[in-house]
Amino acid sequence: MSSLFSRRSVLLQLASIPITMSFARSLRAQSMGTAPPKRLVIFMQNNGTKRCNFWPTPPTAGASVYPITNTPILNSLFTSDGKTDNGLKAKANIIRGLHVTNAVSTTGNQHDIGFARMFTGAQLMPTPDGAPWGGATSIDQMLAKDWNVQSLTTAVYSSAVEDHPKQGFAHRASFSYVAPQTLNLPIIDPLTAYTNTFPQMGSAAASQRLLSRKSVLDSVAGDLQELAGRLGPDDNHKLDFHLTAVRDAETKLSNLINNHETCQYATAPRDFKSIAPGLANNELDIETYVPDMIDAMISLIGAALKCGLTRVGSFQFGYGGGKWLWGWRNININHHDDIAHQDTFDDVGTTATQMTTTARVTTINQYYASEVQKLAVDLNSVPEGSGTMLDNTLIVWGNEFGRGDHQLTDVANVLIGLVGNGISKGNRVLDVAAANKGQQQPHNILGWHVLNALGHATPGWGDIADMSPYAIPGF
Amino acid sequence: MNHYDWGPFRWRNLAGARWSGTCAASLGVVAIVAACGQGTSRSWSTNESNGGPEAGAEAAAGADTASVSRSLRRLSRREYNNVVRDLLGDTTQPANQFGQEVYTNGFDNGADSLTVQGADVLALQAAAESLAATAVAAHPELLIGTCKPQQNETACVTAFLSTFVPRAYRRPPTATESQRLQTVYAAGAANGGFQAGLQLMLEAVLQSPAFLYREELGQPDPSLPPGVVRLTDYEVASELSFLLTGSIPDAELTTAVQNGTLKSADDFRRETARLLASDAAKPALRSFLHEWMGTDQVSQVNKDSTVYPQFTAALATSMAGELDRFYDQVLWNGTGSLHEFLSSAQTQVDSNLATLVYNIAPPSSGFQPVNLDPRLRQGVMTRAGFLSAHSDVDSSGPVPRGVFVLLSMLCVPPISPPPNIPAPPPASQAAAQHQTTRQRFENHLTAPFCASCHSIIDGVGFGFEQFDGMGVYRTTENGSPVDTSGNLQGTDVDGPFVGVSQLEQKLAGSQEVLGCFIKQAYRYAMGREESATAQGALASMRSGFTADSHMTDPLSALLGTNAFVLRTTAQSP
Repeated sequence: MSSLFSRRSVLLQLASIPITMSFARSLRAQSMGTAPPKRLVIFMQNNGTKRCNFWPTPPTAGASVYPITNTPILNSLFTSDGKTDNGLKAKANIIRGLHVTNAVSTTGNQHDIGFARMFTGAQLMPTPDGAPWGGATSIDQMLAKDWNVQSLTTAVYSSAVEDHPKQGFAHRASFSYVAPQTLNLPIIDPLTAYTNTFPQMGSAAASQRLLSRKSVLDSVAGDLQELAGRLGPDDNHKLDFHLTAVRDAETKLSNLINNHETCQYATAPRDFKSIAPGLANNELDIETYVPDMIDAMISLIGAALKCGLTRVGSFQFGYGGGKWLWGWRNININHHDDIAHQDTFDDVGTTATQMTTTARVTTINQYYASEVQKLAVDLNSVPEGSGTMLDNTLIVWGNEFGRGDHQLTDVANVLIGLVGNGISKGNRVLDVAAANKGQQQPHNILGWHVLNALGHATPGWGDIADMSPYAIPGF
Repeated sequence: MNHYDWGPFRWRNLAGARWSGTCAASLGVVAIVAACGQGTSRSWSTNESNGGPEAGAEAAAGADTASVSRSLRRLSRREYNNVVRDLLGDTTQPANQFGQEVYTNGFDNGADSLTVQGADVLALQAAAESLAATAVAAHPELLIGTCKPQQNETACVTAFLSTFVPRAYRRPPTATESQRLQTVYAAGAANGGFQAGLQLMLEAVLQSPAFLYREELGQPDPSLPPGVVRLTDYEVASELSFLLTGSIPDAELTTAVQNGTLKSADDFRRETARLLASDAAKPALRSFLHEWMGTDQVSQVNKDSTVYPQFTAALATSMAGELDRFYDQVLWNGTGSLHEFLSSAQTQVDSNLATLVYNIAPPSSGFQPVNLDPRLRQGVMTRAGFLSAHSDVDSSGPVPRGVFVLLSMLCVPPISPPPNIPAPPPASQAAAQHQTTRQRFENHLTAPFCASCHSIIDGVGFGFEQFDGMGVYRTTENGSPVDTSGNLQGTDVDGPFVGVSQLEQKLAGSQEVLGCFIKQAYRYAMGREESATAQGALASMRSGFTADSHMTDPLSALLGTNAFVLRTTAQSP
């Protein structure tokens, strides 16, 4: 352990050294006239939103396409100071009327359905012990595979109530799946995310170290291929994952070794684990540092995208059905049990208790909006091609619920970016239910449109083989 | 306050049949007695004709089949730490920095969930680099023995490949694996001489799939039906060793493989007995009990400091220490039986536990044996660590306690709740109104919506109400008397009880609990949940097992089945 800590401190010292990255590759690509790469970032939250404070009011009853107005929650996304438009609304689309239908093949509750189905599209699959799991590869991992990149999958779990999904609920640890029933677990410690994503260079010894690592990884890859030959089809997906990860690590090392441009975006986050060194599981049982950890993770995702180290990132606010106490927003009670489950109404409420719940759910979602905003504004500030990085990046802000009391209708999803490069316009609420006589539409619409917008053409997605009847005109 | 969000919406009987529906509809149907009571008495044969133990006897019992498929089982963090300790003398537990396991089979060694993905590669790389640097500098003899690189570098590389690597891989390396390692050596040695080459080779070994995965690949055997293979002797040794010691085979077990004396039932019995008698078995079997009882992370339990100001990290550590000692005491110094596990008042406490939880005179130093008041505390479920682990952050938690008993002791997992369930009042509100936790959860039993499930769950959990959320005994809560009466429904020991000790007495007399324990032991041993084809193996494990048997007996019995050494294959190799 001490050796690891000592390694970490060395890395921290090196943080100020310019990092050689492949950032220049994307810049070079532009100068040579090639199109900038498309990217995807998913923010996933739990426990629903406050409907009356999230959804813009349509200008006329039954309107299916209309401009976005700043509701109390969206105002935290589209303004930087509560008043000034930050430019994101013009690049945003909000999809309304999506319903995550109940799975027929398993008996998990709505947390399980919302968290595991939203970005996999497939019905849940029961594992041998009955715990429900996502039944397909999620869109982030589909695109990572298409693009041959390793995603930067992150989350912050730290919680005074439960610092991981409790026993029996491990499937709520991630919305992301690399294969049916196989979670893509997020990195939950910012420093780990940093050291994993931004290997250091700066001296001859460090360069030699990278060459040595590549030599070792070559050997490991050879062992994996040999073992795969002995294993045959049984259990081979494990080796596939492993080999893919090793190959990606090799590619990153090659980029580092071969490039000598400098990426100045990444700075080392604080070593939050050192705050509680007695803890063994990479988590913190306290929530004091949650906002700082979230900021650090989001900053790292932005840096990784800007440095060209990945094209797929995600950040998960806690886990499915999370139980943060939200002390940093002066709430101090269990989000899941004592707030979300009390939100059983769409308006602001009539009793003092209801209005308190409304205020809490709104405050929480305003915080989420402000965090999503940070990355979007960041990417929108970086010129790329004829626009900004945000024009080539799609940020999806997803939710496991439409409302905290397990409602899976009108699930709130915001798309930001990619306008002009896969999505025709911005500043729109696209109400697919209103366009269908008020009938909620399958949530597959979201994932399918995201995939298509990012170049993964597919006739269907998840458990709907033909999505053509669900296409959003003018999307 | 996880009062209603507790599990898949399903009950199932213990024979494996599943059905959905309301809780009430599924009660009272538990078939483990029938399923597990028909196994024939297990007897060891010396049939060595097909290289496997007990073939004839188990065929009669229906256990002569493979119950799981060929697979790779990545080392869990616990196993990784043990292996690098035994290989390199490293006790820094580097795997604690890896991502936490997903307990798909209820234990940390679930084969299906232990994979290596993106971030894992880098974590494994960091650990390997650190371990290799330390080992080469401090313990080169563990890597190359007495070889002197100054005299003959090539011989020392050969020594590493022929002695260290087989231990690390739990089998001799293949020719191509050795060749790749030599290539790595050359790359390292070119820049830093022998030591750098050795270090780089060790890094490669520690990241190799041959090191990271326990191989259950087997080899063809003409005596077996198509699609079934038998584990190699090296693989069997590895399975035995990881199950009973949590680590790689020791020298004696490896020698048995090399000498061809790990093939017969007698061989298995000899090695099983030897390993169970070794010190290495203690932490391994302790881990099994911890994970079964859901107490493996007691030292990290947190409580609301406004409700439990005395609950500190130090106290949580003490609780973990007590349970370690209690599990060891029952397994190795007592009868080792479920009966004792669920009834013993003996334990060991330190001053933290004595003063803050048990209200007894503190020992002069460290942990000391004591007999707790048997009127108040009998059995594991009355220990502070268990009670703290299975409680809410700000109150006692009848729901998690009830769910534990149903899920882990009776193997009848409760079902996920439907939506829109009204939450019980906050604990703080109950305190202000002088309500007990039981009164706070009253709505669970009065609202028909809740009662169909919660009458069963809370009926068990309310029996724990004599203990608060950190395990302190109480007769009143918030100024009102606590009611510790409970009720078991849908089991073979149905009926009312008062307090945890009576509940444990009931559980100790339950055939269903015995059957559930068998399943838990199987899941731990095989790294998977039981499939339909595991019934024979389960029956062999169950045969002759009583509440007074030693809890390791089912594991020994499993090791005597062909199910332990046979694997199915999707494609014949």
